[in-house]
Amino acid sequence: MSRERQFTKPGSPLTAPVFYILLSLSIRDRHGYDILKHVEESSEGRIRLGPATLYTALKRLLDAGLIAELEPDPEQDPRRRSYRLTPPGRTKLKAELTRMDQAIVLAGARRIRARS
Amino acid sequence: MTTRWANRVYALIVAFYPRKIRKKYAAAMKLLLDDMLEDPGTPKRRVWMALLNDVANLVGGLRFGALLGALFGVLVVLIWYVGRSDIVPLDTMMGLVLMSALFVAAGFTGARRSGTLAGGIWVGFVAGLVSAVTVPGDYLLFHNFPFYDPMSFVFTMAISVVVVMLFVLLGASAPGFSRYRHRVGRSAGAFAGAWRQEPD
Repeated sequence: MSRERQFTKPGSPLTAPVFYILLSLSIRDRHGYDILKHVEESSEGRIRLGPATLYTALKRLLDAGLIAELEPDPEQDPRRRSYRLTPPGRTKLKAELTRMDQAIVLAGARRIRARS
Repeated sequence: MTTRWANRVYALIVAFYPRKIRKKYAAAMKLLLDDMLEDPGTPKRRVWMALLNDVANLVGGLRFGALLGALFGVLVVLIWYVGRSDIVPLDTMMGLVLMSALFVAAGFTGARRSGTLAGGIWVGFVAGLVSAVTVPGDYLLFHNFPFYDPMSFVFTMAISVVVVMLFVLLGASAPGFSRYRHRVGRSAGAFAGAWRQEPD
């Protein structure tokens, strides 16, 4: 399966970096560095992206139609790119959150206890 | 690490990224690195980790394709060995057909996984490199070296490479066939129509 199709295929789970990128864009529109910082903060340092890794992921999300690139701000550096979550992206994120909720409910129903 | 050195190192890393990514995002990636370096809240070791992360992802993408290609190459070598050593009675033509099918499959799998023709060609290329071990293997294990001189060896190898890569290209272009099948279908229909109207 190509990497764009893995985002659009219904029910397919998102990787952690992609999940956090979509999560950060669900709050507000952001540019690259803002996304990178938010992903690191919201994952408590577990997900640390490099610039190339981030933009590779953003390109795949753009190609899959889950995010959209905004027009560059004339007052900012023209190299700076900002992104917005699209309705399909929001739907995909909600589906992923539902999948996670179901997994937690299933784990609780089977009384699985995490060892500390 | 000074900003200038960081920018130089990063420009080198970016140069190895796929052309599609580089063409569109190289400037934005370098700007992001500048943002990280200028942010007083970002420790310098964090910047180094980000650069290493990018190198790892670059190598990882290439490496998985290489592993896939190596797997197909090993299968080709296996068929060659089974046929050569008569473990299983395998007709030469059948062996060649199976090997060709594996090269087509390598190109197809690589193209499907990566979504690009180049990805399929890369997997097929690695499969070809691994399967090339059959040439010295033929000599060392079965004392077979049917080449009269170095030129005939080079010429035969060159033809083998071309044939193998044609099979790989066939496989690698298959996933994208749906994009142009209508044109191919129209052309085939026009040819068939012209053929039927050919006067006796």
